[in-house]
Amino acid sequence: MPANAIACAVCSSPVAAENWNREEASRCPGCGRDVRALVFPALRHDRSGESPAALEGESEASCYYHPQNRAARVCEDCGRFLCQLCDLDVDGRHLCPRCFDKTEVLETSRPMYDTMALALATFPALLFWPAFLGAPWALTMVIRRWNAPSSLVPRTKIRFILAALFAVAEIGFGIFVIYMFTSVSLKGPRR
Amino acid sequence: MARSIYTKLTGRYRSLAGFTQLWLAPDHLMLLQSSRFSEQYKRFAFSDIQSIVVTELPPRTVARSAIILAALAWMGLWFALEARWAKWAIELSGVLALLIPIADIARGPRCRCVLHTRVSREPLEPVSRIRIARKCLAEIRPRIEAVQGVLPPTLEPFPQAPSVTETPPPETPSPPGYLPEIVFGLFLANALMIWALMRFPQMTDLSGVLVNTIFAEMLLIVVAFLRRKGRDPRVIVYAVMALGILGIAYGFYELARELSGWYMTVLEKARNNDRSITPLTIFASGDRAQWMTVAWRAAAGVIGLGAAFYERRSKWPR
Repeated sequence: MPANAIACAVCSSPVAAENWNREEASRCPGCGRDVRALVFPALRHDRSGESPAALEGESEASCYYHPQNRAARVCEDCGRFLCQLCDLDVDGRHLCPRCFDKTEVLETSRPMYDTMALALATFPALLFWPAFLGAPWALTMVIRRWNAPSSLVPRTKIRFILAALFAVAEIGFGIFVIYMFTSVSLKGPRR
Repeated sequence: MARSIYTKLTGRYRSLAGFTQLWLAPDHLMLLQSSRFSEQYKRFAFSDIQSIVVTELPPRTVARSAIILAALAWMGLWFALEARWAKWAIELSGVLALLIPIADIARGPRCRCVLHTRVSREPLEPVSRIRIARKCLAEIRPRIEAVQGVLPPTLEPFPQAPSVTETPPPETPSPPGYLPEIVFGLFLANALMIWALMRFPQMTDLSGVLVNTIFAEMLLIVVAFLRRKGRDPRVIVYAVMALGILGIAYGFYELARELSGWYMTVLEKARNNDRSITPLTIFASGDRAQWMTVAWRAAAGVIGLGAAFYERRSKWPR
């Protein structure tokens, strides 16, 4: 990344190197606003890697994935020879691409079942009749997804609990309404 | 509940679609983007962070002042209302509206923060205030420096981008919108409507339309001037519009005179127990002042449209 890529967050004008890591803000030459840039040594690191060396003689070990390249390392998981191209540094371990695929992949998204259950228990109830569908659905979701992984950040089960309480109350009320209707219609009107 | 490795770094930055929030882990920073029913996670390892840039944003003085004035004006209805519940409803809603700019001022100066890695440039929306930015940077900086070390003051020249990219590409001027043209079109349409009202005074419905279109003229001119800065270098067009403001101001004076006349007629009829309806007709008298109103609008419309066409052709040739 070139040094002039340190740019103002508003107008993207480059922030001069002498204004980096200063305690007080400097003025952006582009938009005239106060800018503070914290720059770290990672800016200088060249992580583009070395290009693989070609195999020179038959006595040399070659890469498992690229037979024309000279082996530079051994995969610490499967033991295959690897060239510079295939050598993947994963937290200090050297792996081949295939073993890298098998490693645990970091999650980038998660569904929030507790919010869904709470929404199912509350929003349909605002229109009354949809609650007859929403409440059982919400209760089913609470039971089925109670142990499903929640957010990566700290989060309580309060939404699940509230959803269950609302759903049970709505189902109870629905049963009461149905009972009242049926009892009135079976007995007939009072004389 | 399993213990999370994350600790909260900022509050939630809420929007209609959800919220975003920054969390801190032992070896990385995580930007949580929630759409309520799902969460997306973006992780930035301390070893990968190249820079964090914070730019202060200007205070929203105009918007704040407008909200405060509008809220105070709204609360002033206290003196015009009789019902006690209505008075308190007005005051409560006014206080709630006042809380918006007060909270905005209390939260301190605004800023925009961007985090750079080798492969990404991520705006950190939760860091929206200078106070939050200071707190965050004080928290993150030692952790990043513990991993990467401290950047020495420039001992060796930094790799600079090739000189070709240093010279910015020539600016391609983009033509502005057509708001001035719409204003001039509206001038012509209003001139036509006022002439029609003078010629056929029985078209009372046209008066109601005219009140709205004249108000729209004023509003569009204000918007056109606000949007002009840095976008539209045309001169004659805006000079004609500035002259138009004078004409509109005179028109408002005439309008207020006619409305007050109508109001006095209604009052007089009420005093005499006359229950007949008095139609509101404006620009129907056909005197010299109204001929002037038609004339300046027609002239401004024609000159403005011609100037807009000429200046657009000369500044942004096809």
